[in-house]
Amino acid sequence: MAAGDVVFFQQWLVDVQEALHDGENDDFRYSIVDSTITPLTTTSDPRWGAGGSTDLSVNEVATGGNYTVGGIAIANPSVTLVSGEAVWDGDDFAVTQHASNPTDGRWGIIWNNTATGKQAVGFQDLGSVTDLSAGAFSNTWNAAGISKMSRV
Amino acid sequence: MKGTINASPEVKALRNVGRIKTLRLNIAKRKSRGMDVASREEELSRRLAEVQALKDALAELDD
Repeated sequence: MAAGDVVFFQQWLVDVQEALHDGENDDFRYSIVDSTITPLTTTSDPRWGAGGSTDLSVNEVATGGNYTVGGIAIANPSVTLVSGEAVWDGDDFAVTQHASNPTDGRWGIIWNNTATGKQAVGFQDLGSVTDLSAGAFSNTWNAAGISKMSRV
Repeated sequence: MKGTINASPEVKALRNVGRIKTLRLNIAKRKSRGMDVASREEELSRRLAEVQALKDALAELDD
């Protein structure tokens, strides 16, 4: 994987078809975890909390400064049909530099705060351990969106 | 798909164009369903303003 890559959990494919996610209206979050865990597409039933097989929230970076518990809301999530593909998109975001910001971010976790089970959607590779206290941190999604689904 | 951490202005400019496309489509869909679009229209306006500023700056180069 390369820095910035966004990868979806295999479990997400199941969760979508069990109507656990509403990509248009749910409250999706981007939370940062440290390097003590390496999320994989195969990570078993990943959640942001208890109830599944993997609770990613236990690996959340030490919060402080401009990064609060549970991470950052992905504003204005949207699902649109673009050239025959269902594109899921949302606003980009930034965490302003602060001396008390987390210093050991390694992965971004996308999860659903509306879903009762707090199911995780996917993750983003930050490339290396990232110190948010040393400078601003921003995430710009792909120009084409966060993800897209197509018929096969 | 690949996003970018601490993106350059060039990447952000391209992203603006992409997000404007999805926002326009999404706003049209939501309006057709009677859903709220206020925050999406604000985001669309903000990004359009950024693109317009870039276009104006480029136009100055052509003068």
